Amino acid sequence: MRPRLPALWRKAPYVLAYHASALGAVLGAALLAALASSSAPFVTTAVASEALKTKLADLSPYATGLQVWSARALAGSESAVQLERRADTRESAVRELRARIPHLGRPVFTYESSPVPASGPGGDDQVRLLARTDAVAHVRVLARVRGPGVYLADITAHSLHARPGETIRLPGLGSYARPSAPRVRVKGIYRALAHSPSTDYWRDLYQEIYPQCLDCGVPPPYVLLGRDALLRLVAGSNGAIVAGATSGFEEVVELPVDPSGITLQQARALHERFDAVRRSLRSSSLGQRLGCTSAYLLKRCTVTSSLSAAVLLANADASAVTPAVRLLSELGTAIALGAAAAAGVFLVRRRRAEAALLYARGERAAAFAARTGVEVLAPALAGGAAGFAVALGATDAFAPAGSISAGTVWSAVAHAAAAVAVAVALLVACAALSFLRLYDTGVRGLGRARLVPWELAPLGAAGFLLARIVSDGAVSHGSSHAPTLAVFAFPILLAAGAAGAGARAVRAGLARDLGRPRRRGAPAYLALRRLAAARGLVVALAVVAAASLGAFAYVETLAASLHRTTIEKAYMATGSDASAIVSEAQPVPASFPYPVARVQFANQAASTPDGTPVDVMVVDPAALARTLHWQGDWGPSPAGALGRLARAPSRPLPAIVTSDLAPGGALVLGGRRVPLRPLAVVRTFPFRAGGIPLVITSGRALHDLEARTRLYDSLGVLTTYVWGKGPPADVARALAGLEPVFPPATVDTFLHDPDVLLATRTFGFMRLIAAGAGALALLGLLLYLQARQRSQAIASALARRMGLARAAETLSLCLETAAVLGFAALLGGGVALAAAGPVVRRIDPLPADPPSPLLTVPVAELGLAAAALLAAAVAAGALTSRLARRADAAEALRVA
Amino acid sequence: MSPEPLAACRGLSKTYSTPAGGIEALHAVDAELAAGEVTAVVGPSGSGKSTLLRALAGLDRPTAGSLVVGGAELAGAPPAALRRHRRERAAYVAQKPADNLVPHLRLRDQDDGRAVARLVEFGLGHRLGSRPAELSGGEQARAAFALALARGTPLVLADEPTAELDRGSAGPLLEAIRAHAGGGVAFVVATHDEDVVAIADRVLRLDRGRVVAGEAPAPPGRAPAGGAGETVLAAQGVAKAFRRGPETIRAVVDGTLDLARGEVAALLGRSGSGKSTLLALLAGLQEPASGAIRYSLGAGEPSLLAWRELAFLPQRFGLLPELSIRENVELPARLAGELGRRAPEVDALLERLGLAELAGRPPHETSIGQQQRAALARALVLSPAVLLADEPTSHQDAGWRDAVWRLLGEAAAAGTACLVATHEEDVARFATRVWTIDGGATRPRCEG
Repeated sequence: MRPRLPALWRKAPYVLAYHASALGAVLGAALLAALASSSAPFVTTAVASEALKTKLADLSPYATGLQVWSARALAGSESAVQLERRADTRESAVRELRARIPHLGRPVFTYESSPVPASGPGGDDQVRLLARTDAVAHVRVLARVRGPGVYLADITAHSLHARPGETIRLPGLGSYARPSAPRVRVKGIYRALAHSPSTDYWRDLYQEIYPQCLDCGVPPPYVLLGRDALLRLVAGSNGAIVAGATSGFEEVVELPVDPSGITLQQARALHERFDAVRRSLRSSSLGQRLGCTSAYLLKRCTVTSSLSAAVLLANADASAVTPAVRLLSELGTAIALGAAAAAGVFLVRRRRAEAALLYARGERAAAFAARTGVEVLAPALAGGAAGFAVALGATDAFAPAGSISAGTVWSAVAHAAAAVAVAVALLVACAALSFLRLYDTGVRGLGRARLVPWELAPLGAAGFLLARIVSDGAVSHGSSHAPTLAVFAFPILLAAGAAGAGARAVRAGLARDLGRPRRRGAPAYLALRRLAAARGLVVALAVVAAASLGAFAYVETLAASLHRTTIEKAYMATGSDASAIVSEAQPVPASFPYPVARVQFANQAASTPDGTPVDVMVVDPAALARTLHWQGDWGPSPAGALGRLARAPSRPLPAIVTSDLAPGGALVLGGRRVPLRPLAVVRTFPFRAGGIPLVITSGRALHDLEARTRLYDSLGVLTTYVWGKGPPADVARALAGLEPVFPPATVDTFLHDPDVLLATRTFGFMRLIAAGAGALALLGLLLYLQARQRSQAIASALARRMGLARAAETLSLCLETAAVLGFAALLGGGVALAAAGPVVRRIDPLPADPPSPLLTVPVAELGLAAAALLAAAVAAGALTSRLARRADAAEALRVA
Repeated sequence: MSPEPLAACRGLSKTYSTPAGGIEALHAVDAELAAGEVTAVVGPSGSGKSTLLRALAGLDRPTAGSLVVGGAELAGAPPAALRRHRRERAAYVAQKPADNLVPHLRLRDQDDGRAVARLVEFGLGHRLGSRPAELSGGEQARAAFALALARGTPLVLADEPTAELDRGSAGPLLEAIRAHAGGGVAFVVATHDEDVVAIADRVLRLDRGRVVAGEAPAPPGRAPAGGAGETVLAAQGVAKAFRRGPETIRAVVDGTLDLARGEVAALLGRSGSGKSTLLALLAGLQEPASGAIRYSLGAGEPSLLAWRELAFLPQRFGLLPELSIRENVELPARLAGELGRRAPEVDALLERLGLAELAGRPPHETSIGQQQRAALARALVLSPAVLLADEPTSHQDAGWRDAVWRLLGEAAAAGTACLVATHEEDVARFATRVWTIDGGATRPRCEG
């Protein structure tokens, strides 16, 4: 017969159901342990995959995908049918390849001729024949007719005077067998790609579409036609098209990367698969089917991909954030483990009589610990699962576009399981230690070391980290400008150390003050007395709360400062809500839907008479006044000065100047001294680079000056900007129609800069950890208060009979909670703000753009947090009072 | 020839470290305990009785001296040896009965079912399926003792095992002690109970941590009490029942009594008779299911009466652990806004009850008897019109028990109507009137 398990062990898995506060403590500690530990794999993977997606988008999925490019000469002996059969074989091979390699999108097949002449009813032009999968779907068709035919670019149609339904000739495709140039019917006209915004689909053909320099002409546009039509044309050309310098017939296969759901690790593996394809191209059956193994008429056959570049760049971004995330995760885990240790002590204290009974019966500490492990196992697993779920759910907040692979999930599961296991082990160990110290066995533990204040350790470490920040800076010096580990560890250590020292001082002060006779209301008296008597657990909770709130205030300050600084930088760089660089000749239509100003900027094109370089901005003052975005802290608005600039006579040259321009009344332009009449002096102005004075003058005045002095192109090369005012996204869309050199920039462009995003998200992660730890401290405080009040049910009932009103009792508990949280908030917040000052100035993800980082205290957010804290204190006090009142004093008296 | 000593202590001392400094609980105690003997450890509360028992039980380690039990030196023994001692040689019965039972286990499951026979022997056969919270205080005390005996250790240490038992309930316990002592078990019982002392083979008297010689002080005469005045409390047909697991316990069936200004009335009953419940009802901490309780004071409703009108000393004191002994005593005055005016009363009560030297200490640094006296001082500080006291002497030695009764008598002489729930049969020596309670029904006892 199997021996029966002792009742204590049989009941152990359910025993915490009788002790709600202990159950809550175990659940909370396990939850935070799992949340903090599993969030690191989630966040780092998601951030890395999001960075990868950004890079894939920047470089285009087509460029980062697999491209098999082959150029071949045409023998002339190959029939169209042979060419088509070969193309079919090739396309079939590519589809099979795609099925074998994950994360690849639908293949795009391109067949392209070298430039060939084309003749139309009214002229000639050079074109390229292009058959590309779904090409027509990726152009803007301006006109079309029914029936078969090819699509011409509008500029080709214009040159040839060809219209849809008409026929053009392709003399370059003539041959001995086909002496007359083949004719093709024009089915439609599309907007020339050179005059359309670049899209991912056309990105790999960028160099064939857009001019390669400012003075270069538009490359020969494409004639879009079907594959078989193209093959028939080139098959009959008998090698004529290879006569040119860029002779050849190109076949390109693009297997774009499918960015949805790919992680950085998977991208690395994909890159290795690409390499394997490249290596096997010359020898494998795949290479044979792709037509890469035969040297006959094959000029080149290459496999290219920019995926390695995307992986490298994404890896750099991820590497910048990973250490900070790991550190914060480890800090959060450490706090959770501390909470688990406290829960172990709490577990024994809450059931002190039971533990003392078992101790007196001679139970081994190991047996007690093992049973405690059984008792906490189920709640720890439940808390761990909840923490894991929260971490998984919260990942979207940090990397909304990030992906998480199954491997990451398992890694996070492993992290969470390990953290929960360590938390349980620590809890059990502390419970066992507490069990051994139930009676006065004479064990003194740390001996004299107990006399050394523990706060010295975190304060010393914080001092060391501050010295590191001051000497080495607060951002990493690699490819990304992400905050360093010291930035995150410093305030937490400082707040924890300061809170410990503060708690020591406050308790000593309270004890001294309470010794003096002083009239106090009952709520304040009871609250102060409890605070003065606070020991171990309450002090630990106050320290954790101070560190959490300090970290929260600190990260809010850093985030607010970063946001404001980025916005300042953005407006300094854009001048208005959106701006774009356009060619000097690009007109701005009068019908442009938003107020715009054309601004020309000459970098260090002038100097002061003493040789100091000066930037010059040439504007239409009236238009600028309508579009300029002026930040309040840049000084008084220059609107009036711009009005005066518009009206001012052109001699001497009227200008608005920045305050760092040396007074002298003259500029040197094109080697000639030009008298200057400053109409206003501003502290700063958009486009002003740090340390270089800026002169803003009107185009009209400068033109007059140049005409008067015959000083043409006095400023040399000018960069022309168009600034637009209005809803940034809408203005940017409108500016895109002006064919800008680069995509228009808005404030969002800067806020979404990868380095800014990295810093913002890292701060966000720190905010989560701080909030989690703060919530745990609050929960711990609530549990502690409830357990204490429950154990004092008789005393509370008697105190009420002595005249302690319920409201006063509730108020005393609220005061006590508010005092603990207020102490934590004031000390943690104060320390955090003081710590943020020197650190903020060293965090600049965009160091090339002025201004320098600005310290911004997020008063509203901190005020809101303080109000929430106050509400939490009141709620905790009221809830505790309510629960205490529900405790039946008579029942307590009877059971006692 | 005296039996072979099972335990011997020589120069045994114990000092507790507290934030306020060391507290010497035992000082150079010399004693011998023999197998088969019952040793009663007596002395005023705070004299070190509990500390001596904890040292003998291997719970607290002595600061100095020698303590040999069963041939093994415990004073410097390693933790494993102490644990072996606790497991194999000593069974410890804590002062509070409930503390000797695992709260979430039914009685039959306590100590893995090894104690069922003993539990039946102690009249708890019908309670085997109950959890500790479902037992009365007396049942808990009997269960605790049964569990200790069932462990079969040669040394049983019991701290005030009869403190909350009436004579009827304590009787079987004392018989069991005697019977097992005859079987070779050494019993060491810290007690104030003269019935326990009566069955003891030897008595070890402690005072302020030192062994002292001499007899217990003679019982005092009747405490001065004022003449009975107007009736301030009248209870008629009060009844109260509550659930205890699946069964309904009719704790008070017919609580009928009255109390007059200036008298010390006693409510005499054995444990489980319903006296604590009746006192809680009279104090307004619970609502009676039926019957009437009227005070000729203030609003008349007990739950609405102020502390100066109705003060209550519960069996478990209810001292606030964050306040010092003095602050606990002056709390009613503080809450009534009379802190300054009542300072002389506070000082006098602390002095009378031997608490003046301990006034700055928190309750947990004092003995249970001192805590009980502090709670009494707190109850009397506003000179209440009515005082309801539940077993106010249960943790007091004979000397302090008399002092407590004397103080109650003086309070009555000053006009306070005192109703004292007790199981002390000789209460008539102190009380002007005695009500007995049995099975939840009260009736006046006619003194012969």
